[in-house]
Amino acid sequence: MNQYRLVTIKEIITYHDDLKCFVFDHSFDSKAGQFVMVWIPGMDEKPISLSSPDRITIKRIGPFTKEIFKLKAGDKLQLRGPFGNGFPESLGEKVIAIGGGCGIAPLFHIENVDTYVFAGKTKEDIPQVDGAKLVAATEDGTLGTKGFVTEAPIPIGDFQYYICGPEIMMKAVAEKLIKEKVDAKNIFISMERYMKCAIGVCGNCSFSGYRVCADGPVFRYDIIKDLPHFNELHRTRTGELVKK
Amino acid sequence: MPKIKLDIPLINACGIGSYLDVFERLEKLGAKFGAWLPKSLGPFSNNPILQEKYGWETEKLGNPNPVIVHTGSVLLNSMALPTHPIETWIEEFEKADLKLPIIGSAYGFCAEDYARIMKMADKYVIAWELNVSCPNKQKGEESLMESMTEKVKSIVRPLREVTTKPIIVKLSPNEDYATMASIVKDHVDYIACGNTVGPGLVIDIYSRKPVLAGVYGGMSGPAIKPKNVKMVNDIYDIVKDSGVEIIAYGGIDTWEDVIEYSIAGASLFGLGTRAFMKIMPDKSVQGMTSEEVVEYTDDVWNGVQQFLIDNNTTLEELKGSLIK
Repeated sequence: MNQYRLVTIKEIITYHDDLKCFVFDHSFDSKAGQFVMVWIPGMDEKPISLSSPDRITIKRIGPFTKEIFKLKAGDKLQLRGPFGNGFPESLGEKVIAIGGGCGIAPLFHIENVDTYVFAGKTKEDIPQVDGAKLVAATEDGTLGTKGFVTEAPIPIGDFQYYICGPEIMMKAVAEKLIKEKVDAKNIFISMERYMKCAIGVCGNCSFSGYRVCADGPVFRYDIIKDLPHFNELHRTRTGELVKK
Repeated sequence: MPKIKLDIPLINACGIGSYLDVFERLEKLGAKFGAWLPKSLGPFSNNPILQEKYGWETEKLGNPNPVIVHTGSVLLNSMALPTHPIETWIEEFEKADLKLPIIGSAYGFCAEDYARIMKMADKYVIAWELNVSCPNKQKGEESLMESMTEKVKSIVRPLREVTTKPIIVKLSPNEDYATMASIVKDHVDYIACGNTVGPGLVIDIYSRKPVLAGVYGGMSGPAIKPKNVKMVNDIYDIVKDSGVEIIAYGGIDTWEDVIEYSIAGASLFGLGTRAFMKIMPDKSVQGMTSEEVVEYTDDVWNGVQQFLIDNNTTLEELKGSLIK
């Protein structure tokens, strides 16, 4: 045996040219916020969040995702995982799920969502949602608030806030929520770092001592907000710490 | 002969955890280690003067992903020594807030590289481990990774001039380690046994391609332990009268393994992949949280201490006590 599970792509849902969802014939025993390592033999292997136990949603941004976009229904893919802690199970509290760019996808895995808050460049970046409210922010103003996600009317109250997106966006949103009296203990963010082994061993995905693959990727905001690497430094493929 | 004196004789194997911030967090949580061993420093510099003078490049990327594969029985890695410039390592050493000492690891492409690296970072470490045995090579690296038997003496002999600190040479279980141990024992203080076993090959039957981007990988994990226990014992027989001591690496899973390596002849014990990852019931592997690492090292160290109490003995007394 090796570590990979071979799955068949059952269906591909196209949101737009650069955003597709790949549905597998296998459901992973997983939690929202956990990720799998997707392997394309002879090319590369990268972490991608599950957007549901049986699917990943991918934005085409580079050679690796371009290769995945060539796959058709019936094609096979090899994955290992799921890895990481995932978002906490919500204990009664409703969740406000806030996502920007590629960070929108994993939020669909969350149960008990009251409101999705999605940010994108344009309305095509904002997927439709079922069974929950949607607040949108687009840079061009084609849907919802025109501007940055922090300008959108994010519901404030007795909620858990799960945020996934670029680090600078997550920080800005979390800081805004704190200003509006949300307890930092109720804010959870999903971190991303250059990942190699994904099994806690190599240390390449560490930020201020936390290995994202094993200690994360989801962190409670009050625990990491003042860490020196947060929104400042990341390790490259050589392990060098550089400015983000 | 300089000695490594640690409160707890457990260290991490090189390339496990790797970075000082990871160690800082584990240390703050109370992990039972006696020293930290960061990833190998290599002959790379961002200083144009050193690049010109020594022929060093800025960095080494190592292999692309996948760099590890677990077969259910062993873990293979083909990291191939990704390395960033020594200056950025020194910056990390300067900023580190560690109470436990650091054992430095160095590798080079020629004998002189080792001395250069050690001179530059000597003040941050209590001992040096010379990596002359990484089985993962990339194109053009034969000088480092091929059979070292002839070269190892030229690497270790001049290093007494460079540092007063203990010198460890990490040998490979895949080569004629007995000959190498005989050659180096007069020039080093410790022999580390050993690097990963192999290399091995894992083939993906669907694509018919190697799983590892680097094709071959060094094998680690509990399955390789008997090979390295034999290596420790073979080398103990060679060095026991010279004062050279042994660091055991390879497949340590439980406290019993530490005791076993001790009886084989080791004085210090390196925890590897098993200290940072766990094997699940379905034989898949998952990373351990920092808290789980702490719990694991507690179990190992408490188990060792309890065995010593129950058997009214010490690690010093157990060392090399194998009855053949």
